[in-house]
Amino acid sequence: MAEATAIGRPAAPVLEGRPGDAELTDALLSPIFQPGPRVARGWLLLVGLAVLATGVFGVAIGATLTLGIGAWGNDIPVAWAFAIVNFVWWIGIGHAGTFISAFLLLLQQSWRSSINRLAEAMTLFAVVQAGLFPILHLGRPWFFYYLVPYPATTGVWPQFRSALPWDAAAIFTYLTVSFLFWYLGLLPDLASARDRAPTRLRQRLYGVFALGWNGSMRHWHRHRIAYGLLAGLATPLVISVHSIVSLDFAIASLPGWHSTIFPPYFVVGALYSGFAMVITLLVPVRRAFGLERVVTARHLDALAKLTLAMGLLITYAYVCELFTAWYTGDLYERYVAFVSRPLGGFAGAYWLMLACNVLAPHLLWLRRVRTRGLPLLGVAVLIQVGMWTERFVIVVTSLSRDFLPSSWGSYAPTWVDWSLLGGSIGFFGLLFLLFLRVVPFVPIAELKELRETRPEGLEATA
Amino acid sequence: MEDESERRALSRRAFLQLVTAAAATAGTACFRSPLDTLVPYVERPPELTPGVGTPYATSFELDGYATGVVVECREGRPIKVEGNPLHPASGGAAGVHEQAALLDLYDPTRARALTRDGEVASWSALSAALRSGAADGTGLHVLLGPTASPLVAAQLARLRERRPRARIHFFEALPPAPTVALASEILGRPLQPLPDLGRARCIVAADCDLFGAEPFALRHAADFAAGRRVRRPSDPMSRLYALGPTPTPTADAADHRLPCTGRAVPHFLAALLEAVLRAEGAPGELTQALAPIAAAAPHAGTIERIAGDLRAHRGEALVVAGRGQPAVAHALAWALTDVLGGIGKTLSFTEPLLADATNRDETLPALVDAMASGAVERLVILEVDPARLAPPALRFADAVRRVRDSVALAPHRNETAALCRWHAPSLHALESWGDGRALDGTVSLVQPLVRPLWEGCTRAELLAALVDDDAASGRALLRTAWAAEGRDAEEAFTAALARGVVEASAARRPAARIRLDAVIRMAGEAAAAETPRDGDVELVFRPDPALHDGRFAANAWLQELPDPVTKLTWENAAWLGPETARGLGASDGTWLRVAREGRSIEIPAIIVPGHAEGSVTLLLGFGPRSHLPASHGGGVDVTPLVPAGLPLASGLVTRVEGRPPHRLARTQQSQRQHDRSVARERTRESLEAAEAPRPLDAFYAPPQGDPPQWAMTVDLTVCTGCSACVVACQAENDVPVVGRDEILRGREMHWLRIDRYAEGGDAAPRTVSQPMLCQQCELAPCEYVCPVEATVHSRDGLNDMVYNRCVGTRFCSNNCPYKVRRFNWRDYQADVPEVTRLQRNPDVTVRARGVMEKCTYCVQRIRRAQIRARRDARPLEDGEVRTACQQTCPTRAITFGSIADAQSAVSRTRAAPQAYAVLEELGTRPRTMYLARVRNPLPGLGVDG
Amino acid sequence: MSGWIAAFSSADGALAAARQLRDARAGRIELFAPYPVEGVEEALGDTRPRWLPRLVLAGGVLGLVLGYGVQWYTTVVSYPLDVGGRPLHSAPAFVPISFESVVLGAALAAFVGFFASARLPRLWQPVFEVPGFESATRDRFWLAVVPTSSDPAADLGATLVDLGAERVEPLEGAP
Repeated sequence: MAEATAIGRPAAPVLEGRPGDAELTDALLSPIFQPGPRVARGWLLLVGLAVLATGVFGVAIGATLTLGIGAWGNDIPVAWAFAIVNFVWWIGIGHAGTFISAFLLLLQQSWRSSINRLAEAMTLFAVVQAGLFPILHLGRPWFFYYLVPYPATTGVWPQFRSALPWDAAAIFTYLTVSFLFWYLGLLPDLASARDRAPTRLRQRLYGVFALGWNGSMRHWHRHRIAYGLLAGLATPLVISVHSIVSLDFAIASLPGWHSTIFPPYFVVGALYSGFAMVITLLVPVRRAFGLERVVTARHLDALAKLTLAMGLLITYAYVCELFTAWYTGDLYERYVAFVSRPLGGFAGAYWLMLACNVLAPHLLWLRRVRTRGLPLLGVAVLIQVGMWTERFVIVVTSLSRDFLPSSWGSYAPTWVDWSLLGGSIGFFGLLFLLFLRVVPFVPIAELKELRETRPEGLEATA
Repeated sequence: MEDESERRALSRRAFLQLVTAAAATAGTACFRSPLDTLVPYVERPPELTPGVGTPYATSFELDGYATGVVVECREGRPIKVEGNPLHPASGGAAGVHEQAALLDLYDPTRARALTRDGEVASWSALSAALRSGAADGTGLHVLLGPTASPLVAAQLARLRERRPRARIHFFEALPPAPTVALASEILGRPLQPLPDLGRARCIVAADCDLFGAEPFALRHAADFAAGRRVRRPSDPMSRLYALGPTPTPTADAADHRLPCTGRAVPHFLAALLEAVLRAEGAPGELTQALAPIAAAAPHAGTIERIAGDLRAHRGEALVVAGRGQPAVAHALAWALTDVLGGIGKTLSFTEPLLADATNRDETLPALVDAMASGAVERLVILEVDPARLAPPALRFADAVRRVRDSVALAPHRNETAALCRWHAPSLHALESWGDGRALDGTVSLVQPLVRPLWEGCTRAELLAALVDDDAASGRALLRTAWAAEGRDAEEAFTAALARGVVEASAARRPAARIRLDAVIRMAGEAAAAETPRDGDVELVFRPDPALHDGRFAANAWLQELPDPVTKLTWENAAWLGPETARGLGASDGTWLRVAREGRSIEIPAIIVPGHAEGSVTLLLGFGPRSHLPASHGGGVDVTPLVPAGLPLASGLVTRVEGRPPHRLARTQQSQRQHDRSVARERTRESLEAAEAPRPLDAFYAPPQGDPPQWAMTVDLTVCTGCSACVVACQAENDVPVVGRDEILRGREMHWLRIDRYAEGGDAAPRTVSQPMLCQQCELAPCEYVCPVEATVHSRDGLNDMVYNRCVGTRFCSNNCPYKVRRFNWRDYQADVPEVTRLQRNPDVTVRARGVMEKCTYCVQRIRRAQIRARRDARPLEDGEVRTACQQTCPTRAITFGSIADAQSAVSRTRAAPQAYAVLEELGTRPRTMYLARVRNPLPGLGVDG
Repeated sequence: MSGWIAAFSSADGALAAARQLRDARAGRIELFAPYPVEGVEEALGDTRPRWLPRLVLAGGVLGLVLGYGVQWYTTVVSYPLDVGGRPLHSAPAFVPISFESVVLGAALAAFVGFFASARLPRLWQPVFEVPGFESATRDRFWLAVVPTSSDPAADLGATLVDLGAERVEPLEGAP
């Protein structure tokens, strides 16, 4: 009854009706092999848009590499701005996937099965975006490898007291482990795709990536062990990655950055935006591919509740930050907390952040909002805007008002900054759309197993 | 485009060829600069070692007076200007202009050939043209700026003698104070004043920017600072009252700031004189005569006390009026100093040094009349720009068109050069032979350090060409003049060249007696003549501290040098007091229309706390220039409003409706400290209580390196914010210029900036100028956040920056509490023209795009000194290493050395009671420490703050 | 001709058959299914490798040693520099990377360990030659039996039919 306590009564089913194995398999493979014409057309249209946005991304990257960081709005004192904000935002979004699949797997939350692969894919693609920005953001990106310990003729190594090599290690590890975890989970379904492929070519392609999976008990056993172990490893990893990202700021002495609350604060924020992103993707996908029976109201409800919980936690973090700033009595901390953020040049961003992150989630107290697609989608989008703004407030506002009033400055983004943000969203969308049509985005085998092992979820009706 | 190709044409290699070329063109029949005196570089001259600089002494002239400098040459390229310790006006210091003039030598926009009607012409043709016409000089007119150069004076004398009917006119946009004429009136003989701040302990500067706009400013600042270094309350300390409309470095340095309009200054001085006389028990009629003038004095409540303070310093008191003030103000100032027993001590008089307009038909208006009447056949204009700077009412341009043959000697094809038929490029001081005199009369020589980059000649050479058929070279002219002085010995000449100054050449200082009654009569007349118009605002015209009257507009260093007070770069604005601004409903950047006598300009406002209300300061030197790229034409040209003579006028100021406010390119946004004790100040009394500072205990004890351990202290008490150190740093370390747009983005690159904080009321704030450079923290926050070890600590306590290792994460800048790190957002070094690159210091790495850079305590100078010491097998002496900023500082505010040696100067200054480290509570343990600004206010005189 | 492979429509059917064959000591048995079937260990005997978790642990330890070791060696031994006055051996600063390398090492070990123990990748396998075997990843449960040499193979195929197999196919080579 794990999910009973976790989700609460009355529990909508995690799988509606009782489709047979064959039926289930074909239904879940249809997006790849025989999607409806409407779906196919819509998909092509969206891909077109995404390609366009990705093109803009490319142009902006080109401008950055040829003109230098001067093409951005950054200055002294605001030496970090959009690029870092985007990086933290994307890496944060990338946290929900692994959390959902790994953490909930350990908690044996059966409802995760319908959505975990989609969430993991989102994680991968988000981390890819996140990984681009720290490199683009370097003054001399072509020397990024100076951050990697390799025996150079100069004899110089990276400086491991800085949080940036930690960052590099964390992102690399996270990207690798997320991919392994995702691919391992995908293996049986690649085999199904191989065995149902309509053309010889596709059969061979899926066959290659299935690596010879034959569904023998020998395979299943080892698969289960390895998958469980990876889940166990991924869970603390998720926590560690955003903690380390937060240290990029926390180890600095800058008022508004130098705070011990940052690691938990950032992890919560990451999951918050991550869940919001899962909802943002799940709602339209579920609708477009007619998967209401597989991704049920129950899933939306559960996700919404998790999001709400994170919203309350982030509110708590904000309050703590303000209290600490006041309680330390530190002149500079107080100035950032009570003057430059709420009243300064970027006050608009600050209040937008509060509106989106603190007020909006309270709509999720309403079951109607939790279980209906559109309203839920609206809240999710607001939260993502809010989380991006939060990082902007942390990075830019703190930098623009530091210790010496003489060096106070401002910041104004250029078209390159905006294009990089928009372009990365487009690129993310492109990768995700391709994913939808290339691999089964709902784990088939897991659902079959679920159908066998958890009948009680099926008896109840929505 | 063609200009571009010419730039290419003069690559470094080509330039060296020029330098080393044999004097092929020597001896051709023209009067161009002497090629015959340069040594062919075929085999290395013994005094030149590649990689080692050779210093040459020479001097620069500004406003007619010369300042001695020492210029370092590397492989034939002048790369750095320092002050000449032997020269009285320098004393080892160099101001912003002396240093930045170096960049003008490599200015790609300089005129490069003699032109006639815009076509390249031959010099022999010009010399022929100059000597055509009547032999007695009828119809020949010469126009030049006032100058103290004996060589030019000699040439003028020869001209007058050989061409008796030739007429010589003088013009300066902001003429020197009318002191010589005044002296002949109230001293009975033409003399000029020479204040000596070294002997003054109580000073009243009446609208007088002693440390900025006045001649001898470097010397004044040094002398003043000498009386301000206190460690104990018992230490003697001078007191300075600054009166006048405009906040200047002098007003910032003062103990009491007394803002008042320029017109009110004479009233204040009269009242002061009246009070002093009364207290001295002078005959009643004198004081009564002054009473009516004194009645209108500003700050009336303070006068009695200030008078008392002055009298308490009998023999050490000095009252001095500025060049912007009318004769009466100077007269009253002299009278005061006289009554207080200062004549011969704090103020002495020398015979006049300037060749300038001594009778009315030598002025510019006289010339214009002559031209208008068609009496001028040949006009020779020597390095002045009347076409731009003359009052428009004169209609100078129209008049010139009626001249048959006009010749302009100018470095650029400026407005005047474009107007004249002939344009002869003038040589840069570093390419010329000549001389000059300092305010005290000391003669210094000007010698060329390089062969002229492009053809040209000097004022003296052109003047000589007016009389001689076989034109002598500049050096020959100088030798002749030298011989005429009766000092024939070649050795003496060479010695003078080597030292830069001529022994015992200071002007005599005859005893002078002020005729008090004459002064008072004069004051009475002045008061009677004055007709204050209501509703008008007073317009105060001043030379820009950087661009002067615009002659430095081509100089990128000076264009980007933040104004000492407003921190404005690349443009000017109308300075207003806060109340006046409120009255106009203006804030920073609001467009104002300033109108006077039917002419008006539109100029953005800038609010300057401490500026006199009812008065507006307008800086000359800005506005579009025909011969310069648009980027150098920033700001607004205020010359249409400049009155002839005295730079004080009244006009109407209104707000321009509907014009969007202007974004001012300032390098400092907030001049308030927001309760953060960053730039500290204290009174002399409070020094008793203070104990020597102790650095905070660090969690990690900083590793003790080997001696020497470098450190610096900056004494905020004597820093006037003059910004000479900023230019010195820029020249020494190849700090790039980024331009107005990048400044607006907050991307200035100055390694050393001067922060200015104003505390207290807006009416008369207490200000502190704080040079801010890398603090070389022992526990540097920038270092531990660098992911690639691009910034690490050296064994001798420097915060090193490894440019080649830097990948540009900029984390170091984020974590620098002092924000002294600069980032190469774009490839700034690539924007530097090929010619200008010749100025670069070969000891400094050129930074690439995407790399962080910052102050390194001039590590190249440290290493060079260490190498020298090691070669001589001796220990490094204290004071042997001098950073660029320290070396050039007029007030010696910067001390540098090793704290490993407890007896070093820097160790001693760090032990001073007012020493502190900025943001020491962060535990960064800066090696750069500051001595809090110590003030010496007159007890109970509540005017400041 | 080395064995037989039979398709069952339900997991229970396949399991029942498997038990029978096990009791009959029919030979080596393997079950192919669309998802892991409950209770198959008891039917086929538990073949789960105990060494896989230990391998993962080893990977983690190796990661730790490498991660911390590289940081310590480069900072303390190879090129010591005074960085912000911090001690050369700044242990706390080395923790994050060490942790990441633990996870990385362990994860790689788990991944590699899986393929090693599952003898993958192996793109061709005898079972793939069996007609209709694709259904093993869809909705059918295939039971493969490779008799120990003595038994007569023919009646083993018949036995499978008796045990309720939908179809029985000969299997060439080991499954």
